[in-house]
Amino acid sequence: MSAGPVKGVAALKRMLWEENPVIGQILGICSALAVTNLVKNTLVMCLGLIFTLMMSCFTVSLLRNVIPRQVRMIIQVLVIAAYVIVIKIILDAYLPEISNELGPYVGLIITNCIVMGRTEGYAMNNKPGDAILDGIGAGIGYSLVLLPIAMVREPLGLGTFFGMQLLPPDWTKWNMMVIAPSGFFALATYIWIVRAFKAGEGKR
Amino acid sequence: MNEKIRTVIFTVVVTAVFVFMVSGVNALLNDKIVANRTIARQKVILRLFGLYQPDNQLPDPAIPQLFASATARVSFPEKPALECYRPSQGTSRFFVVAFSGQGFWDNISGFIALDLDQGKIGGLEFTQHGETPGLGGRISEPEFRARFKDKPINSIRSDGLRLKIVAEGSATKPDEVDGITGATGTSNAIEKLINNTITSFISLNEGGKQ
Repeated sequence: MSAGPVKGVAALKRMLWEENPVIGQILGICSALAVTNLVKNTLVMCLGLIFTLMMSCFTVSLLRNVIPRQVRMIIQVLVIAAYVIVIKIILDAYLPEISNELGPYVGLIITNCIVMGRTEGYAMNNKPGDAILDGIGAGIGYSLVLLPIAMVREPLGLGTFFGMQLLPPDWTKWNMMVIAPSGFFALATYIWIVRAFKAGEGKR
Repeated sequence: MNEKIRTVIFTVVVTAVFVFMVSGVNALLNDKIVANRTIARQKVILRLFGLYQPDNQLPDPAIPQLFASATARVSFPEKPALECYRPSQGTSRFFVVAFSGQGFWDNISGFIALDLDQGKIGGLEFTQHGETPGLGGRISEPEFRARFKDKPINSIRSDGLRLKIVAEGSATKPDEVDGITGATGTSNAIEKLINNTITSFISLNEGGKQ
């Protein structure tokens, strides 16, 4: 991570490619493995993460000058957990069926290292406006990795896409693609391809 | 010293503010969440009685009324905690019975419809499970649940089971049910759960009237 002050839209843009939290910093791997076997779950997870990142970065940035250094991590976790629980309650109230399908995944946003990484690494030292953009960028960067992986895993593993039948019904389902180990393979392959592109960019 | 006190006060105040926010949202929406859960449960029971299809136009707020008019709770003195329902009209011995037990990862609960007049399963629904998505999690798919429909419940096999879960695609006899490939643990748990539920309900029902 570059230490220089990155402001405004640049803070958002660099998260998408240059400093993508998953590819560049290898953060948020656990959830990237867990939820990417269904596109729908992945999408709700990504939206939840974007919202959490946005709100947590904003709040932490507002409080950044008054948080005592010794307890800053505790406060960050508290802020993140509060927003995630709010998301869970809202889903339970208005989208009970999706909430039911996602089960524990929404709550697991709390443990996503990206959120704490951004609050500690950026929001603690930058203005609220920049922190929001940085948070949204990190969330979108995360989605840009997870969604393509889910789009490969769900059709191969279950023959469906977004719950709809995509491949012919006699398609032999690759059970391997549904369970976590294939998440490792898919993610590693994806990171490999993207880094090969990045290396090419550097040489130019 | 001063700095330490400030830290403690700050932490307490921030915690209080966020606890207040979360409990406020919870208090605002709690009624709706509880109502959603009740309706979801009632839908499951009504579906087992064949009174509700997911694609019919009945709006959610109408569910509790239909539930109250169409079903009646059955209680057993020897097992007061058992949740069991029957149609409020008629004398058919068609019961919807709640079950719950250990799955492969987590508790599995749901309802099973038992048609004692015809001696077969009327249907199966799960309300909660924590099985691996895409593998054991497939138990909640309609296709898997349909495998239990119309299976006989009165005969006991030579291995002591009423219904045996076998490898996927190999069920040939009426008392065999296809399991799930890649989810042997879940299949075994379901086998145990379903057999135990049927056995205990039949013994209860024969012991008393209603």
